[in-house]
Amino acid sequence: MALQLPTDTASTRLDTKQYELFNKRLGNGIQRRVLTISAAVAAPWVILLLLMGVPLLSRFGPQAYIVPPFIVVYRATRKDESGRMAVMSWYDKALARRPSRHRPVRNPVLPEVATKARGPQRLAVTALLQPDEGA
Amino acid sequence: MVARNTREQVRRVDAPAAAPLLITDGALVTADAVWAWVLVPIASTFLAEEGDLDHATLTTARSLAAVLPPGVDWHLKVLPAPHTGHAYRASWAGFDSVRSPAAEQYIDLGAHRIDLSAAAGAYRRKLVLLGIRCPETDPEPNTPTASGLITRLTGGASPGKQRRRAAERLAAAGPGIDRWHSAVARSSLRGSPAPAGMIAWSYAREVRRTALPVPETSAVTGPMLAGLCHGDIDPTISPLFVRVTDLATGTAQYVSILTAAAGNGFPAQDLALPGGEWLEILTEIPGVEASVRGVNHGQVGSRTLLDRGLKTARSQVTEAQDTGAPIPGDAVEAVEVLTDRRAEVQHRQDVEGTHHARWVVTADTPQVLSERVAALQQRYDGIVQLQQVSHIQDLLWKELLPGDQVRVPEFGHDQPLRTLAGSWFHGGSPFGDPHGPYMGANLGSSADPVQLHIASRADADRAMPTTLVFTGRSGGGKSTAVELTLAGLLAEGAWALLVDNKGDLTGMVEMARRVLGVTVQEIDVLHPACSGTMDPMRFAPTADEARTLTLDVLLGALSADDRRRGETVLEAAIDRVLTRPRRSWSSPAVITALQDVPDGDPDATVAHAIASTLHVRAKTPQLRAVLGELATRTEPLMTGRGLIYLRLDGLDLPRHTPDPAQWSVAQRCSMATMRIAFSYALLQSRRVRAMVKVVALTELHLLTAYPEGRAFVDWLARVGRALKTYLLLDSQSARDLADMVALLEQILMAFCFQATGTVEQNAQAVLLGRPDPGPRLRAAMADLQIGQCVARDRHRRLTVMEFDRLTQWIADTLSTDADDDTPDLETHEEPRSHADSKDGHSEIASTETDVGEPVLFGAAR
Repeated sequence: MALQLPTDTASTRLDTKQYELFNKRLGNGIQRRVLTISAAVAAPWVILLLLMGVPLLSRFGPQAYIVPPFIVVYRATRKDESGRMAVMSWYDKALARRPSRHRPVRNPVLPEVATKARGPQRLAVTALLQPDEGA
Repeated sequence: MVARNTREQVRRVDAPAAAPLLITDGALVTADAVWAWVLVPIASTFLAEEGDLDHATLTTARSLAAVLPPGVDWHLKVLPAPHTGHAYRASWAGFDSVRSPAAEQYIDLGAHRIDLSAAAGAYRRKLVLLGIRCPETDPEPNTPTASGLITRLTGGASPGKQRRRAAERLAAAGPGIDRWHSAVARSSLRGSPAPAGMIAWSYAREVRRTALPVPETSAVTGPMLAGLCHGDIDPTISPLFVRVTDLATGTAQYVSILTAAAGNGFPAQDLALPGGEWLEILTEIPGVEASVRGVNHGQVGSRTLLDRGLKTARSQVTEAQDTGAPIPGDAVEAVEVLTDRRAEVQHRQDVEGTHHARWVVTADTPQVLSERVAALQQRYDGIVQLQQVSHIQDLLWKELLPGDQVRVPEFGHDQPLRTLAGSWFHGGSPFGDPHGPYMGANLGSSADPVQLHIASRADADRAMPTTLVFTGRSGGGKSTAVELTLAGLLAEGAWALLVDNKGDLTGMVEMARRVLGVTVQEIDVLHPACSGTMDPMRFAPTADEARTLTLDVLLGALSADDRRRGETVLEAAIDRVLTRPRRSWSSPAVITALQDVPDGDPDATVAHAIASTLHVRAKTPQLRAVLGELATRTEPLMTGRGLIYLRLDGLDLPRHTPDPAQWSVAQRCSMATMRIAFSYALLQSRRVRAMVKVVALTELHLLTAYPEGRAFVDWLARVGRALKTYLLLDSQSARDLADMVALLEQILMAFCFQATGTVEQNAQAVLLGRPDPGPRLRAAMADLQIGQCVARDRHRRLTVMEFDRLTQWIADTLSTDADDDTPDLETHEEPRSHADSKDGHSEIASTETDVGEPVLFGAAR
């Protein structure tokens, strides 16, 4: 029998589910990551709407409170082929815009020295002609 | 648990790239760490069978567990080994030997071929550097001081102070580093401290991505490293790659770093050996390297990690049961897997590690990069799921730098150390010697140029056997391989004797003269001037050997009936001659002694009849050189450096039956002469003064087809060893050679070319030191093309190699194929001699057009 070369990541980093919330059963369970993202999205949104004075029980209140977070959570938790949630790509995209990262690195051994790339050098040469000199 | 995983997933380390302050042999110091580095030789298991692979993997895993301190960061870098003609030329300076007059030309041809093949991407051997972050007892003073505060506020210590401090820190860590180096050297990894130049080179090539030479120095400090790292890394062009520009040349390369997908990138159970060597596959694709960082959790850490996982998995099962939900299959599986793994850890069979593997793809343009990434992902399909993650390429690039750290832990994987060991630490195909003539290309998993220093005088090599065997069917390329091997030895100033039974090796004479500039002596045993020159009574060094060899040849010249009745009278006649003074010993004297047997002697009739027969046969061209009278003007065998080309092609050798009883008179005489010629060639090497001596014997299958012949070849091998004469034995029958136990013990190297039939391949496997060949070796043998062979070197390592004929001129000259049919008109034209050409060197020289698949490595295509 061939020697197995196992990987235990799927077991040691098990994608956990929440089966019960506030004493209410959640059927087949909801992934805790999705719950975390939902809470992280919904809480600020709800607070924002409350601060803006949008009434929950108005005609469009429920839609205003539920639909945008739902869309965001839905899109954020969609997984690509490798099983990675889209929110991680958003997160990396945001971090990559930081000035400390969005710039070239020149010669890491000389971080303090500005090393300019070689390029054409322009020289302006001025000569003062003095025909009488030395005559 | 969840919080820990989430924290690891979102952690991004955005600190500046680690910059070395000081690099010495085996150590690198950065501002915040001291790293110890070793160079790990690639183990040879390219053609190993399943059981051997398993054993090697488990042994390596145990070594890794022992040498990687628990909880300490380690870094494994897999880099392409630099191959240059310059290095090959320099390698000739690494050993003392006399060179042939035109050896430089021969070396240049090899160097040129190495350069061309390296530029074409034909060499894929990798270097493996392994480093650990050494624990520092006192990296920086913890006690807050006023000067420390000022230093921090002003942006850190000055560069000069940092360097001074680096030297002190290295000195403090020195004993620990030495201990680690010793531990790695003692382990099955057999690693040695990485040269300072190589560590600096591995750092600089990440910053410049061009073909940099490895600096030869034992310490690299700031100014030298700053000069080496004159590069620019731009992550702003695309989120999928970084552009690395060598500022010294302006050359830009596009680099993308791929990761194994988080969670399911590595299959949980489906990876197995053979086939699961996920790091070895790198060598198949150009422009791909690897960098793996990780940490060994050790016994305690592994148990903690596994227990934490078990707790989570069990709690998931329990929660699902309590709420009546379906029990999640992944949790149940996790419980089983982690329980098994914990048992392994408990029984000290393996330990767990967290590994961050990165595949580094480089290309000249973004388009080519994209194609290579796709090709890489496709190659790994079903093995590892590779992912080109956007917007983190700059961080992943920094991870490649020696002395840096894991910056994106999201893509880490928890694996037993055997999974890491099985991926790379074996599976290579190192072959040959670090010095010596360039012979061809290693076509194994770690492809590189093959150098064979057959005549190595290193202490470890002196006591080794001296026989090289070349086997395979006719037309497979073995005769060309013998000639190329001979050329390499001649370049080292050898005395070489080539015995040519078919007369198709005349190209060797031309090559020796024109490429190597050595003296060549041509001897044709059928020529009248050679009469009596191979008389064993004359050349055998002792009376015993003279007796044996003379009896052998005289009996060989007789029919079966004459042999039966004449054996004793021949022995008596030889004995009588041997009692006389040495200068009168000769085969004609033996024949005369037979004739001189008195008529009253009971054996007189037989003796006279046999004497009469031998007297006549001594005059035949096939036997004249052995039994004939000594020619008045014989040319002594050359004893200086150069090539002696001994032609036996006029002999009428038996080709249809191995049964001596069915041979004709001419065939018997020819066979007797061939055997004596082999003995003569070998024993004459004793007269040669102290120098590399080599005798190449071809078409041995003609001898080994019958028992006496096999015994004779055994004798050749034993005597060759005793005389310190290298023997190149060329035979179409591996089966005959494999049956000779004494010969098997004398084999230094074996080169097995194409062979038809399982029996012959099994015999080749015996010669290769694998008497029980498995499917991998059989598959390699079945796939051989013309000019390729499965080869065994002096360290009993196997690979598939192909001899390199260096130039088209040499290929044409050494070709043993019969010329194609040509119109009669052309046959009347006087063929232009190579020696007559005005510009002979231009014909010999290797050209750009020599490169290309048809002639790149073609030995006999």
